Amino acid sequence: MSKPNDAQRPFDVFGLLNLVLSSECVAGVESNMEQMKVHARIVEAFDLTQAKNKASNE
Amino acid sequence: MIRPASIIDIAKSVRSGSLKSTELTKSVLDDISRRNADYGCFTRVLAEQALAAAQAVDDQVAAGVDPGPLAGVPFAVKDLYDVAGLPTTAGAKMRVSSPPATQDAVVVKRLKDAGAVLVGTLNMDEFAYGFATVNPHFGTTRNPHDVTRLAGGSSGGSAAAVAAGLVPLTLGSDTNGSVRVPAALCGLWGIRPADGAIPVEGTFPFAEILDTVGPFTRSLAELELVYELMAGAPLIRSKSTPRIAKLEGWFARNASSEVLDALGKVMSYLGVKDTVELTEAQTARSASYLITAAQGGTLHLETMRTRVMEYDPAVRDRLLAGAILPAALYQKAMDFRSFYRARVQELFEHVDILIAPTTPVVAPRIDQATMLIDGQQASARANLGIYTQPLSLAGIPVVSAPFHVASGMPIGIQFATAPGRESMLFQLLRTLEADGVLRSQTIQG
Repeated sequence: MSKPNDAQRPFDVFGLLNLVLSSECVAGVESNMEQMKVHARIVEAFDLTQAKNKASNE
Repeated sequence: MIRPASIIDIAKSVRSGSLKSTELTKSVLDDISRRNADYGCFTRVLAEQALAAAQAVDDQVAAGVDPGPLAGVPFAVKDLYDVAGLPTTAGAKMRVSSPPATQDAVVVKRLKDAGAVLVGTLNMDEFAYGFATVNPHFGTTRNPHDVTRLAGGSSGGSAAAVAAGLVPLTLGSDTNGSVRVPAALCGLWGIRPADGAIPVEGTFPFAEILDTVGPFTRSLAELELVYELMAGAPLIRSKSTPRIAKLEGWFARNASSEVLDALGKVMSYLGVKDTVELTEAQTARSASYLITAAQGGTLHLETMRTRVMEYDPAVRDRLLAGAILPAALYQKAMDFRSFYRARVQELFEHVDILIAPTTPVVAPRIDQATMLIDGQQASARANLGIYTQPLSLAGIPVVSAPFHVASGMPIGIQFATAPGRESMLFQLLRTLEADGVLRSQTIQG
């Protein structure tokens, strides 16, 4: 588990997760992720293949 | 001194020699020094540079040389435009000491070449990630019509500076609505150009696939003039009668009664009852949100590796969340974008101009955290762009026009068209402005 000072250290690609989970950032990132989940569900629910078929039949 | 009200009048007076650019610039600089603290528009005032440019304009006039169609017009730019010799802060404290730009952004150069005089840089949400212009480093920009309310963002300093009458022309940028939202909340004209219509070179990027730049003005004639100068080419004139429709569905959902009333009056004036429902609008808004987050997160990843705690915490956490979005989700949003743009293009086979509100509500109070969205309390700031984001993803030109409000806070209406039909759009708007349906709201010091 990350420590509070993780956010102050340079990080590599994998260290990004440490940063996200650091005490400074975790609450804010989690809140933003909740927003993004809402949008992700909307985009995921859109059936692109069906929409394309429907559009080509119109 | 009493300054001419419009860009066109200023340029005419300066070109004729009846108004000295230096006198005008001194007056504008004095006004900024007296009143800027009330609104928090300017981040840097470039007095020395501005007076030197104004003197050059006056020298040209004295020598019988035409300085150009914006002769002596004072203007200012959002703090993400490169200005030669200055660091481009993009609203971030961490960039205050970054190396200075070696040349002006393309559109800054175009306006200077037309005779305009740059007087300063303007406040914004850090790295343009917001609709509020609440900046922990440079302060909160306040709405000149009610200083307890937001000016909108992320180009809030640009909108408030024109609405307060500090300068007649400013530039902003619009990725998801950052020109249109503050234009609406501050009672001004603003335009998001079609993708690629105006060069963005020399501006600090946000989500490059969606980034555009555009001006704020107090009248349509000014907007049109500056748009053409920024684009570097005149519009191709159209005499066709536009086919007009109101956007329904998503674009009517969640709008306040005063916004719907304003929209209804515009439609009544036009005598248009046709409506169109862009059924993919909600998905477009969400796709735009995700693409912005992912591209913003990727853009800032390198900087975040070493300087993450120097960011505005609210922006930092948005960027971090964007940086860990699954690639598959980003790709799905991009695939949707391709489909959606084709759908919108098809729509323009049957209609020329689409009309919708710019924001669901008038400017929220600065301390207002939430508003009602689909029956639930949701972030007031994040949801100011619900009607602008779907049109951003389509990549089409959209003007936010100020509905004429006799009293109370300003309301903006979006007029969107297909790329290449901007002239037809301006023609319709000219009629609406001439008849008083659309009119900017500004205050004078």
